[in-house]
Amino acid sequence: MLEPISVSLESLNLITLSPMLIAIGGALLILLIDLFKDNLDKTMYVMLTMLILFIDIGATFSLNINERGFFDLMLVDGISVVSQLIILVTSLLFIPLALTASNNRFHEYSYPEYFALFLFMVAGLQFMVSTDNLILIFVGLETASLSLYTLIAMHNTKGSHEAAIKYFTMGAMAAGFFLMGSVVVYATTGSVELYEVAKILQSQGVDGLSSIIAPLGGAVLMLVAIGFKVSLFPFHMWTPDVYEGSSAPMAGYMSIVPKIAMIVVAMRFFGIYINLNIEAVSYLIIIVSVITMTLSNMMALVQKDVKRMLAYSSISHAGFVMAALALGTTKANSSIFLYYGLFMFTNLGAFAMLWISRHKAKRFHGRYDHPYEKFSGMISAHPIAAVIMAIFMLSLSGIPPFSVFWGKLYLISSVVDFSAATGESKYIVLAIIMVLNSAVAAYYYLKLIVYMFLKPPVNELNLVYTNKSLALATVIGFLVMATILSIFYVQPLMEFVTYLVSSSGY
Amino acid sequence: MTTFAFYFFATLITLLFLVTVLSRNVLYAMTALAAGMVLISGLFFMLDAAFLGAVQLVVYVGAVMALYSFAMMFFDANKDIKERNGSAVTVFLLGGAIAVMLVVIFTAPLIGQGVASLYPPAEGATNPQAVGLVLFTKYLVPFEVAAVMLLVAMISGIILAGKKMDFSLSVVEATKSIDSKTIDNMDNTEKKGDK
Amino acid sequence: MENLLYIALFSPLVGSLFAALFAMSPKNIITGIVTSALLLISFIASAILFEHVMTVGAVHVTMMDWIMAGDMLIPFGFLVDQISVTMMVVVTLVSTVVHIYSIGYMDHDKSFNRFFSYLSAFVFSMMVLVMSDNFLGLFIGWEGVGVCSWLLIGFWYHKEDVSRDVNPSISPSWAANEAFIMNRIADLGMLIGIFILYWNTGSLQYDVVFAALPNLSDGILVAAAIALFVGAMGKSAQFPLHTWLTDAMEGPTPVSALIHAATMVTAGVFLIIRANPLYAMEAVEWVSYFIASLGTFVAIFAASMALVCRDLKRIIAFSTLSQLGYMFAAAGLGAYWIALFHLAAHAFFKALLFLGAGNVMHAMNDELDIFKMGGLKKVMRWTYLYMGLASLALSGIGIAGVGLAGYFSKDAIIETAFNEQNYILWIILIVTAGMTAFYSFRQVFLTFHGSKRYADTEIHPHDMYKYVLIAMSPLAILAVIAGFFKGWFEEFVTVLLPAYKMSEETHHIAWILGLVVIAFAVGGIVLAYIKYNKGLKRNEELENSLVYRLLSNQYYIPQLYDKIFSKPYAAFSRFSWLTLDQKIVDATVDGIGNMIKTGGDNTRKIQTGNLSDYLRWMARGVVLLVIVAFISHQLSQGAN
Repeated sequence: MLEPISVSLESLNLITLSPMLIAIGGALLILLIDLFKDNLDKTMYVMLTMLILFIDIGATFSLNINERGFFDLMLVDGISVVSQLIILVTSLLFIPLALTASNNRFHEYSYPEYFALFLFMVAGLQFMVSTDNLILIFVGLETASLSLYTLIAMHNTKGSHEAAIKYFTMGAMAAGFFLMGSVVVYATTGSVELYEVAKILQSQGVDGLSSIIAPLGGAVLMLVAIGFKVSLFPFHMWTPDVYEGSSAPMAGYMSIVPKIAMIVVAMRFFGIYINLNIEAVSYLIIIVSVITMTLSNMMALVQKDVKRMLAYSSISHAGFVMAALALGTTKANSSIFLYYGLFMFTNLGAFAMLWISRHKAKRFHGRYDHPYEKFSGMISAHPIAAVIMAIFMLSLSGIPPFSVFWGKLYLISSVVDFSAATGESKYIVLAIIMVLNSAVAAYYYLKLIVYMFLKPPVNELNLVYTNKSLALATVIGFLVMATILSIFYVQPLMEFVTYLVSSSGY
Repeated sequence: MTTFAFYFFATLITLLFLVTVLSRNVLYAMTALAAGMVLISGLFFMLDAAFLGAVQLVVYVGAVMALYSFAMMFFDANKDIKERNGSAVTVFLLGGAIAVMLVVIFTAPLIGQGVASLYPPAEGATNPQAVGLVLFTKYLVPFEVAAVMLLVAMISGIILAGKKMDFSLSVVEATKSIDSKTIDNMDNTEKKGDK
Repeated sequence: MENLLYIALFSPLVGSLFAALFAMSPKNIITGIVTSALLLISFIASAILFEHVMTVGAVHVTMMDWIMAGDMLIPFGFLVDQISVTMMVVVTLVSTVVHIYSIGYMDHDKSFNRFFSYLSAFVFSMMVLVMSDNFLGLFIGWEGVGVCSWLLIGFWYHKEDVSRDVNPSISPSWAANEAFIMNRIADLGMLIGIFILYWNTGSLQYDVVFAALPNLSDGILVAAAIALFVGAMGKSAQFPLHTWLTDAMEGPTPVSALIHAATMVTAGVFLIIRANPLYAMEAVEWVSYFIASLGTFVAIFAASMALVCRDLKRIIAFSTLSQLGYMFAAAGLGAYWIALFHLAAHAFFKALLFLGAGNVMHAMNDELDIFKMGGLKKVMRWTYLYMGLASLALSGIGIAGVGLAGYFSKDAIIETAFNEQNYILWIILIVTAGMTAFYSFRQVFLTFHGSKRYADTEIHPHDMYKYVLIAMSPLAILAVIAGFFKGWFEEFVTVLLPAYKMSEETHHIAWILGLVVIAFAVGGIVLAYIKYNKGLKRNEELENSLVYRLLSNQYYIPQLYDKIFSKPYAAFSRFSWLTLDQKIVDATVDGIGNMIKTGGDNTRKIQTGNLSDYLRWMARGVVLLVIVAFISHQLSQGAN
């Protein structure tokens, strides 16, 4: 007989699990409500989900930083808290977009399960960012991904099914690479817990060729999986198709939340390599990110559909952010979170603007919902909407004083600082490439502005905001204000993020 | 003896999986896959991982393959599948390159130095007990999250296969413009859908 | 005190936003009342602050850290000291009167609410300008008043452009653009000045900058002083950037009173006074002397144009120009407190004069030609009284220590010129004083005395509403009594500003000097009386003489600017557009754009939409990444 194992409840530090448990509990609650009471108004579920997310945010805030829990499996550190906050706030802004005009609801929102799956996804992502155990990361990632595939498919158009299938298949392959990478790490170090991995690699040394092959190979395999989620070249193929197929808010959501979760994983994983001074990994990430931002910018130029353009633009933004990840300095890491925190408002806003103009019929183009022509001459028909859209576009192209500008500013300055600190001039080249890419990017954002402000309307088919409702207008109004007023909160926000990031040693 | 058994299993597994990949007939592919899975469990048994061997049999052969077979029944399984394969050379090279790469990466640590597990199994525990010990202490959370994942998968399956997906509230025919009538119709269908 | 400061600063903003809420709706008297009330509050707060500064001392608050980028730290703070509190009281007082006045004046305008929104926004910007404790805040206010002035000059933007012969300022929108563009040119100089100071002192805070001045080299000091003065020249419409001010009379008259007489145009003078430690430096002595000379020149230059002008508002505008010249003369000669005193006194009587002109316009159906008026004193008794008083104050009438506001302030400036032994400036200023008296009373007599030359038209003049006339009374009272506070004011501001005392000799003969000035002023009035009291006798010969034509066409300067700057600039712009831009720049940019676009088209071929292709690309990516990883590893190893 084996000795019974006794574990004291205190040592488990169960509070570290509370944010995810709230999300999961909320999801189960929604499922149960649906079980007992049919035909409830969907607005109720929206409100309930928002309430749960609110409580979740509260729980996240109440966590003590730098604590471990549950046999050291859970890790609550600065980057986990800040990324969870970004995830939850974005979710909070995303969910009310379900409340389109009451005579014009979309398919997915007719299911209470949609909201349950959404909360499961949030829980999965939260698990991903609040652990450094590769197994738990993987399980969380898959939970979130599975929910996400379904959420996309539930839009129930031909395009959304195609999108879900493509995403699912490629996601399966990426998951395979993730596992493969984890196995290599395990084979090399005998552990799947990254802090142990770091210690062991440190003591083993990584000098000889034979001792570097496996860690480096593991890094490449991981980079494939991470690159897929974050949509880096050449694993970005799914992005435009999936964004095109899914509903606009979902596309906007995907361009932020799963990415930030994966970036946290990347920060934890590649952080080991950067601390060990394995420069090859930094170079690898930088090369990939430079190719990503450049190619996707070029692709964005030739798109005919605004949503596809925004998809490519979000790929380019991701490439931008990844470049900073390769530096591993506190400032670089903080500015990544700041970037996403600010990018969130603008990008979600731009997609929300597409959403309120989404027609159930494709009135402007055989294939696309949002071709550029749809927006031509918008300034005369919907001046306020055109101005709002223009603000989002200007912000995305990084024009001060709108929010993304500050993100870019801090990001590029972190690259420049790094170059100054290490005395390596090649990082200055990187900064210049980033700036040049921003300049190219301005072209396609301004293209939409040109369409809206300078071109005459194409035909009698007026752009009608069929989906407009008070809820959507409120969310968009909030996003616009957050974008415009960023100059007033960027400083404290940066301080807050830097405090969190530096407190856990990143 | 064990060396011989390993190479025997290894060769067979490789061959069977090659059949899986290369065969154009779904039934053949599936059968080969199932057989390969059975043989993999043999490897586990050889390593004294009896529990995992059993799980391998039950889950992959018993559940996953059975599910595949059921799914295949909806199609004409005897028909050859036409693949659009592009350049066979590219595919061959890519596959080969990745395979070589993985072999190199996986063998590198073995050449380097021996690796010890950080958490050796408890003294005197049998294999299923050892698995159980780890699974229900340290890995309880991933275990439960996996359960959530399965729940998610189940809900997803039910929804996506459900009747409500037969019509879509997200599209109307492109020729019709949106007028009050279509909106009324949509409202009606939505109500029907809710029931 | 801090709260009072914020109340004084933000009440106009609140009023502006409140009025802006109704901008699109038809006239609503509430907007006028609310904005006026808020300004009254702001005035009261300013007055209490004045008392506080006098008894306790300056108030300095930092609202927030505004820009923190690297080593750059710019706190956004406000400073209420002797200089700014004087400006605050003047600004809020005149603004309050003008707001109340506007309720009556803009009575029939359909954009009533919009007007009040702009007007209050102007006051807010002006308060930011005067209260800021650093150059950047000053610049923001500076630009803010510029924008508001643009909005208000062009308030009746729907009026069509007409030729320069019919209306010298073409149209309100033209005048607004002219004012804005001229100010932009000058603002560039101002920005350069601010940059120079920032680079060399590392701060924009007044106190820090001024404390660091002695360490700077002469060249930098001179450059900064010149650059800042260029900014001041634009805002205060000094030659050669003066043409916009008279054209700005296209705006509604209350705007002219508030912005283009009492407050905004004095911002340039305010800047020089604020930056007095810079201008008092030994190294920049000749810049200050240049300022004084330019001021004197503008004084007589503008007065000469006013002599023959027929447009009621333009005469007052010219006189504003002329008086600004006086202020610059004083500031340039180092008598900063006298400049500030004249600024305040001038604000009262000039605003009064403009508002009186507004009454006349209101009565005469927007007629501005004084040749077509006359004999209005019977029907517009109060306005006559006000304008007469203001003109007396402007002319500087008074004797032996008893007189109207202008007597004290302007005399002090003339006396300063004498005291500096700068007799050329002194003589010019005295002559100008005579001219000032002449054109002021020419206007008064032509408007109010003589025969009713409008008799054959359908106009039935009547005086303004009672409440408007009452609202104007504080200005009238101040125009009369402001001068008596001179000694007390000197004591108050010289805590901060350098005390300027007349030398013993000057002091001894001060009464003679005063007498000379009075003689000129009275002479001017008498001349005007003889010539115009009985009515208008036009002298064809005189009017066709070269000098007269030169003066009435403003020395042909607007036409000259048109020929030298506007036309060639337009031609150059056309050339740039058609040749440089379209053929060269566009072609190059298009070329680069097309190159990138072709690249995009080529890369798009990867994006086939086929899932198998995508998966294959992923596999390619893995192989590529592995190769890249190991190559870069080898390279980085090799490098070490």
